[in-house]
Parts: sequence; structure tokens; C-alpha cells
Amino acid sequence: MNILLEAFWLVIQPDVLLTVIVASLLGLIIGSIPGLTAVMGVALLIPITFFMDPVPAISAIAALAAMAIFAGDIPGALLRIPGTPASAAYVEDTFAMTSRGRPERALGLSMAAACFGGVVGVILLMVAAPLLAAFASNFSSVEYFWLAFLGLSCAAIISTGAPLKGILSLLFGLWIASIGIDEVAGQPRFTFGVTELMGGISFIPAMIGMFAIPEIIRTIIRPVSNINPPKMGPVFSGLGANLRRCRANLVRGSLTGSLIGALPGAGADIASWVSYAIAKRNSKTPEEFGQGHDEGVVEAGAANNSALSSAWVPTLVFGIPGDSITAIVIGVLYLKGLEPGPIIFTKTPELVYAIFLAFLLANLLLIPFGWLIIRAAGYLLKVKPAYYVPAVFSCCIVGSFAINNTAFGVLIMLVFGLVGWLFEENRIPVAPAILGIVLGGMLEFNFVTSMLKSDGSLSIFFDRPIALLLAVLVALVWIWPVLKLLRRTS
Amino acid sequence: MSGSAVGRTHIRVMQVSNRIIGLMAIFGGFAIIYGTLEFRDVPGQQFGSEFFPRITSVALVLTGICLAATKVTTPVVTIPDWFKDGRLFRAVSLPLCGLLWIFLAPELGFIFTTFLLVAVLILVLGGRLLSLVLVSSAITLVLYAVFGWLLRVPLPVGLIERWFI
Repeated sequence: MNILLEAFWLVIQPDVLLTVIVASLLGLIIGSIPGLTAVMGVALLIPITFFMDPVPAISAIAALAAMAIFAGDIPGALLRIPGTPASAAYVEDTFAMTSRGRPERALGLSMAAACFGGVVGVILLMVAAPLLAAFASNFSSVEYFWLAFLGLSCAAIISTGAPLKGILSLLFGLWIASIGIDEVAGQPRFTFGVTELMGGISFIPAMIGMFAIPEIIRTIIRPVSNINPPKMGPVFSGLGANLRRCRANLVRGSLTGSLIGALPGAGADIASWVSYAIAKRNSKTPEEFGQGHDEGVVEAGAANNSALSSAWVPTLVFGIPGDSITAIVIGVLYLKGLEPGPIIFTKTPELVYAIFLAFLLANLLLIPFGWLIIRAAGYLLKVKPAYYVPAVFSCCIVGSFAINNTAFGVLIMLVFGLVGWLFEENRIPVAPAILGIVLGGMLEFNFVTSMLKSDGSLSIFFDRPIALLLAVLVALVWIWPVLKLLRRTS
Repeated sequence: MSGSAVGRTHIRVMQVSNRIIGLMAIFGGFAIIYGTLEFRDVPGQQFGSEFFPRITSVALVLTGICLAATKVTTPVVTIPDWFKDGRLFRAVSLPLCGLLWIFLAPELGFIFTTFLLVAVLILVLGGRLLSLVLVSSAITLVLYAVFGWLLRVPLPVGLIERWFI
């Protein structure tokens, strides 16, 4: 109880509250502009959080992500352009409601569903994370090696459409992580005599480049058209009755999203699509899906935000990211000297609970702030890329510069931006590379430490029961695409 | 987990075939192994600096072989439609402006260079002249206020900064 009170005290500090509010507003603006995603928003926020204390920094990320994921529904409903990939599952339904002159119904439903789903996800996070952390507290370097390997494998193989390309991206990230001076041997690796590379590739400029630059390029090559958003009616009118009618969808979507989000490498996009499919299968009127059906919007909308919250379970407990956003969070936690894992729950429990409470606050703020952004959406959508693209790009530049106060960071951002764009054009996922950069050092450290402990014997990786279980899980993740391929060819 | 694929459906993308990607991965893998040859051994230590990068490079070569061996269904290189019109210029102007910022900012200072960068990009992307001045000034000042003043990042100093600092 004392810890909860301490955490509450940390969250109600004016700087934390102010940060959450500003980050929420930023998230709403970013999410509601087509082409700017929640991941990109978080990537742009990191250079600012770099200078903050851990609680406001992590709270800002949580708030921005929660708001941006909801706000992604706005261009989807009004223009049929999903603001974030997670909104794509039910864009046909929300746009159909707009076509019938009821955009406020679509956005009201998705706002309320996002708030409910987000709160359920946070509650699951608050319950499950400490329990799992207690279980994981006896893990050694072997288990940590397997956990990191499991997370990387899930991200590269399961969450991408093309496992080989996912693995390629991951290996690229692992190689990037090995650049710089090897701390154990003092050996410079792949630095090519460049002094700036001695400290390794800075994670933040690389991440900004890989997540933001491809989005910017896609936005500026997209043909520009004049946008005339429809007029908006009162958002809360009839919302309660509509929600009561879809309460089963609301609960099921929140639980499905929470479960999927907690799986390493899954995330809001997958949760949203799966929930939409479940809603359709269980509906009495499945033929109306895609034509403005409330059930799909509520179930998938709730799943979106609940997955976003529960993705923090594997992140905080094991240091394995649940999605792209938490992959960035892991990097931030390391930067703040907070190694994600069970120890964080015993060493600084008040901080972990403060993060939970900030997340809860951000989800509750969805209603007032969501209402505001729905009212302002018409103006925001009229802003032309010619004005916001330079703003986003200059944020990328100054953010990359600010980390080490050197223009080399900007160069890293540009190079990784180009690499990220080429990756995405060729359907090579970017997230495994980022994970490789973040977790590469930890993977190498735990692998080499375990090998040294065992005098070079690989049996150490299978001696303990949990290590063996994790090894089997990793093997299953790697065998799964092979089995799929064999089944397809037969 | 992957980045956004939204809004990409109507645009032909810049693609190379899996075979080329595979060959590049194999080349990359061997290049990493070559790079590790000069790493010195640590006396008394069984696993040196080259141990993990070599595992990565072997995995890279194997992945490259698998990719190169997949059935080729796409042309060797696909050039996107937008390479043939003004949008190529817009896309190229972005990294070029970034590079210019890197070279000019230490000389001209953050405020002037960033104003210039934003203004040029607005012009290239088809913004209006009057809005250009207002938006460029606003973005530059907000960034300077947040990073230079609030977060105390030592941003590049030039003529304008020297004038009011």
C-alpha cells in the first residue's frame, strides 16, 4: 500500500502531470494526421524524454502512445485513411458511419472503447506484471539469454509476414549493436577508424531515422488532394446506449487485446485485426460488418488500447518488447539506468507503479482530450503536408543532434532513415532491427557470460528447467515457419 | 509490429528481388567475418570480441542463402512510378536538406539554418510564400525554445544566437 501511495505521489507531481498533458496533446495531433503514426510520435518524443526523470519520461511515452492510437481513428473515420495501422481493421465501418452523416457516432464509440480497453489493459498490467516478476526473480544469465532470444525471435519470425526478412532485419540490428568498443576486451569493432563510432551507434538517432524518415518520405510522395472533412455532431449523444448494446464486445475486445498485447512481438495492430475477426464471427449480423457496424468498431477499438497497455507486461518483467513502442521504451529504460526485468520490481517498485498509474491517467484522459480532438479534427486534417512534414523533419534533426550534441547523430539518423525506407519498400520489417540494436548488447553479454561460466559447454543453456522450457519455446518459434512452409508445399 | 503500411497500397514501391537481397546478405556476412579477422585475442579468455559478431555473420550468410534460393516472382529491380515525376525531387530534397543542415549549422547557427531548412522544404513541397515565413519562424523558435532554452541543449551558435545571447 505504501508503495502505491508513493507511486501516486510521484505521478501527481506538477512536472509529471504537465508532461502527461503535453504528451497527450502531441499524441492526439500526431495520431490524427494521416501518415504520422504512434511509433513515429514516440520516436520523436525520445530526445525530449532523454532530459527528464524516469517517471515523467516513461509517463510521457505511455500518454502519447495511448492518445495517438485512438486519434488514428479520426482520419480513418473522416477520410478513410487510417491514421495508424491499428485503426485499419475497422476503417470501413467508421467511414461508412461518416458517409451516413454520423462521424460523431463512429468517433464517440472508438473513443469510449479505447478508454475502456486501455483501463482494462492497465489493470491486467498491474496484476500480472508483479506476479510474473516474482516468478522471474531467480533467473540467471542463461534464462536472460533465452528471454532476449525469445523476444528477438518472436519479433523477427512471428510478428512479420516474411520470417526470412524479419531474421535479416534482426541480424542487421545485432551487427549494428556490436559496433563500437567491446567493453570486455577493449577492442574497437567495425569502427573504421571513425572516433564517433567508438561509443557505438547511438540508439535514439538510429531509431528516429528508421521509424520517422520512411513515414515522411511516404507522406511527401503521396499525391496531395484537397480535404474537406464532414461536419461533426454532438459526440456524447446516444453514446451510452450504444455502448450498453455492445458491452459484450467491449469486454471481449479488451480481454482479447490484453492477451494478444502481452505476447512478445504482437501489439495493437494484430490485436485489432484479431478482435475485429472475433466480433464478426460472433455477431448476429456479420453481413453488416464493413458497412458501419458498431460491434466491430467497439471490439477492435477496445483491443487496440488494451494491447497497448498489456504490451508493457513482457517489457517490464522480462525486458522483452510487446510491440514497436515498447521496443523503444526498453531503450529508454536502459538510457535511464533502469534495466527492465524482475529486479526493477524489487529495486524501484514505486517507479513501476508510478508508470502504471500514469498509464491509467493517460487512458482516463482519453475521454476529455478525445472529445477535444474530435471537435478540432476538421481543422487538423486540413493542414497540408507541406507545412507539417518540415516540422516533423526538423524535430528529427534537432532530436538526433540533442542526444550527444553533435551533428554526427543527425548523419546517423539520415543514414538509418534511408536504410529504414529501403527496408520497408522491400517488405523487410524495421522493428526487429531496432530490437537487435537495443537487445544485442544484452544478448551478447548473457551468452558470453554463460559460456564462460560453463567453460565453453553449451549444456549450461539446458541444465535448469526454466532455461530448458524457454529453449523449447524458442525452438517452436523457429520451427513454426518451417512447418507452415512444409504444409503449404504439401 | 512493423511500421505503417498504410497509404502505400496505390504506390509502386522501390523493390529489388529476394535473390539480390540474399546475395547482399551473403556478402554482408562475409564482410563481417573479414572485419573480425583483425580483432586481437584477450589472453586467458576463451571467447573474444570476434565470437558474437561471427555467430551473427554465419546466421546472416545462411539467411542470405535461403533468401537467394527462394522462387523469384518479381523483377530484379522495380522502379517506382514517382521516380519519373516531381515527387522524386521532393523525396531527394529531404536527405539533401538534412546534409546541408549538418554542414551549415556549425557555421550559420541553429536558428538561421533551421529556418532555412524548413523554408526550403515548404517551398519544395508546394507551400505558400506568406505561410512559409510564418511557419518556418514558428517551428524554428519553438524548437529553439524547447531544446535550447528549456532542455539546455548546446545548439549550434551562429550570427543570430550571438546577437541575443
